[in-house]
Amino acid sequence: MKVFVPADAAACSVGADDVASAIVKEAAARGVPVEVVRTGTRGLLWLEPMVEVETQEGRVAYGPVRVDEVSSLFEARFFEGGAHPRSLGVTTELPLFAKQHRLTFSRVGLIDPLSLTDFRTNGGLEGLARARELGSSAVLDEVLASGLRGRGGAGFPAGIKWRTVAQATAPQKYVVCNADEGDSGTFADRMLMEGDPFVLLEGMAIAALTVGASRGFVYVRSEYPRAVSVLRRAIELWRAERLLGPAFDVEVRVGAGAYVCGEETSLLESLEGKRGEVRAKPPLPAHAGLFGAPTLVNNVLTLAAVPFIVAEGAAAYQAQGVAKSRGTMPVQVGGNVKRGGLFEVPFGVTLRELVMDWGGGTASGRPVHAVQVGGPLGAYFPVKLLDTPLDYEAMASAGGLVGHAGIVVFDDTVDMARQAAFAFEFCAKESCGKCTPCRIGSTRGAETLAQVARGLEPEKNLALVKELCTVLTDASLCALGGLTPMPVMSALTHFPAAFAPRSTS
Amino acid sequence: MARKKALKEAPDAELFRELARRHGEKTVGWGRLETPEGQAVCFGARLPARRVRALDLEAKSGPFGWILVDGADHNSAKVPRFGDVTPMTLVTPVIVEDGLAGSASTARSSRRRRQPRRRLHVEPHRIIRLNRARSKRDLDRAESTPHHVVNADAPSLSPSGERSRVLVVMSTPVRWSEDLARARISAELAARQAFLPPGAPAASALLPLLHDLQHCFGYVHEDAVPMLAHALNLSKAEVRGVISFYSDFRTTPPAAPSLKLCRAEACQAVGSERIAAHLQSKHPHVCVEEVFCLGNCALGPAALVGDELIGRLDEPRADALVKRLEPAS
Repeated sequence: MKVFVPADAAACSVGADDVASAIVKEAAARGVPVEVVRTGTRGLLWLEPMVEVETQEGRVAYGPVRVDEVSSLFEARFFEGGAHPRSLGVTTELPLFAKQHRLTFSRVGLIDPLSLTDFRTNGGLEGLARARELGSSAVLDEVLASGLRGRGGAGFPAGIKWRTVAQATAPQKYVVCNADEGDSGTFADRMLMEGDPFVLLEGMAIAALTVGASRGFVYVRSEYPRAVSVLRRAIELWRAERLLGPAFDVEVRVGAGAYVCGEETSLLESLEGKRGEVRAKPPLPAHAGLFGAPTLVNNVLTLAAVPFIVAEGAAAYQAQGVAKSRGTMPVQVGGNVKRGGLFEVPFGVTLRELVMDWGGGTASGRPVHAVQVGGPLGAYFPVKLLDTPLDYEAMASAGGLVGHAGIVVFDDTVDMARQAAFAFEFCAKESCGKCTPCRIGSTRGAETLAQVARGLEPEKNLALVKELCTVLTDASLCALGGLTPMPVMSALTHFPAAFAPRSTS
Repeated sequence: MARKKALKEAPDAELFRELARRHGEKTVGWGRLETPEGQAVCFGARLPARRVRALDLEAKSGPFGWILVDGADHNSAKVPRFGDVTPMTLVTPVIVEDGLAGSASTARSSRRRRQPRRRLHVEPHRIIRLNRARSKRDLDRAESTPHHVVNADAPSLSPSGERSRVLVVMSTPVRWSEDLARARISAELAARQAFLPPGAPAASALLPLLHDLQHCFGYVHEDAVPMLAHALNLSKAEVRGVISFYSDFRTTPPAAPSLKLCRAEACQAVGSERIAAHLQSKHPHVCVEEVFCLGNCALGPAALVGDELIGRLDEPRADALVKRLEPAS
């Protein structure tokens, strides 16, 4: 009998390892032949640790399971799907799972992440096989036609980037996967790398085939040790089976705690062994990237979306989503939220649906006050703007961005003036220092907001903050300086009361 | 013969020699290892390539932190005692042979005389990583984590049913040693260069080299700077510039106990600042490093201890965590 327990870092952070070992022990003590398979997580993180069991109706879930409940699970014969207070029913029929459209995350939580057999029997490698049949230009057409846009945040059409690299003539080209997922509120890259690392390798292999690259790097942040180790083992397994292709190989490189290295040119500098300082563009990395060679830099989710697109055809992907935002987006709902997790949904779902219907409101039970969308450089939305649909253009016109689709929920105890100041402080800490607006402006902004908080000439100082924000937006070299004004200005615009002078405590 | 060749090719053999020497062990092969908690048996030869693939995967990513425990020993009371050496470490090249009772010198001479000794197969699930293990419970946890288990797709290491007493233990971080640092730099550089296409600059290996040194010694020693500069044809200023740019790299030994606490927005929304204040007031001796996002945004506040992610921190859980980090007294 197979019992599935996630080994995802998030699930383990609330005790999945303990539960797994308790199940092994209990099974041995009772003489029940149970095989524990460790999977990724289904993304229903409020139910973790969530244990699943193979039954005739499909996998049945129990959760959240505490270690001291394992014994009673055995009493209830959970390994045969027996009823228990923690029973959730068939996993794929859980309302918040059934409503999703899992294209990229279809295998995450379902399979043993490092079992090639599991991967193959669940549709893995079909995209790569079809890519080899189609050849470079036909694959390019598929990616272009799918409408896939870069999932890292900027939303640049992936097909155009691919075409640029493919058309460049150079003896050496690279594919670089940006897995430096530093934005607070986002964990989709980590969940994918831990739960289905092969799909990323498949996407990279297709990309390499298409653009003509012979080497690939996955740049993973050091804060994700488990993802690093899973990915490295996945690469070993692919190498052993020669799945990467005859002329392509991938290596994992680990970041070192610099947020700015999520910016593509800074990431390339870091890969070259230098300080992660942003480069001026042009030249685009697609023309002169890593070691000056044409380089395709894509986010984890972009590359991982490709195998589905190539295997099922662009139309199947294109069919999802709205307007110019096609396909699905793995949305991550976190912060002060009742049901936090990852939900892969088509573009066009509103923030209200995501926060209220999917997320269930705040965990604290207090009213939702603000949600920040897209990480530390994303805007704070007030409740009245929650009907904004999640799509690139709609979010932009509401003064925000989709980013990596992380949504962080705050209740009414949040101090929005503090959050605005934090945005500046974060930028000051993480600025690479190359351009003046970001390096100096962020510190100046934090100081000025501190003065506002102390009630020192608030009007004059807030005017200065707005001016600073304009300079940062217009004159910064990259998105770190250029977008720091977004959380600041959105807080100022939507939550002006928070900036009223207060008594010093 | 094949075996001899493998040994020669193993760049880490040097490392093992150095480590063994520094811990009062003369042999390159295998022998006893003295730790404050007692004696362990360690090995320093390389497995045949296909076995290495299975055993060595994690070791390649982070060369330290492995322990191989036989079933009997695992269940004995001895093991948690070894767990007190934190983090536990294994010299990368590992071979598991029978005949542990012999002394190091006889092992060496016997190897010269005849074919390699029969290898003991270690069951995959008995390969346990013990970075922070302090108790039996930690051992159990480590054992049930698949990333510490040789995958089913890897060449299988079937149980032989033989009695084995296999422990591979070293304590890390190890003390700074120029020889060891030099050996590590050349091994890591060779591995990175093997991947790079011809013409790509070696200097691109700087971050992996720094990570490797920090992993081994706990920090990047000042004396490593000229070594790295020399190895990569960089100026010392360039190396220092990189070390100071990245917040991960430290130039002094780490304080213990320490943990990384997430201070980014998603954790702020659920009280990470409160936890930070609590740790500072109740446990001022604990080194709390700030990090921005650990990717656990739906289950915050989050912390990272070694490689272990902790979620839903509240005051009692934080207290329990600190207690677990304290040296056993």
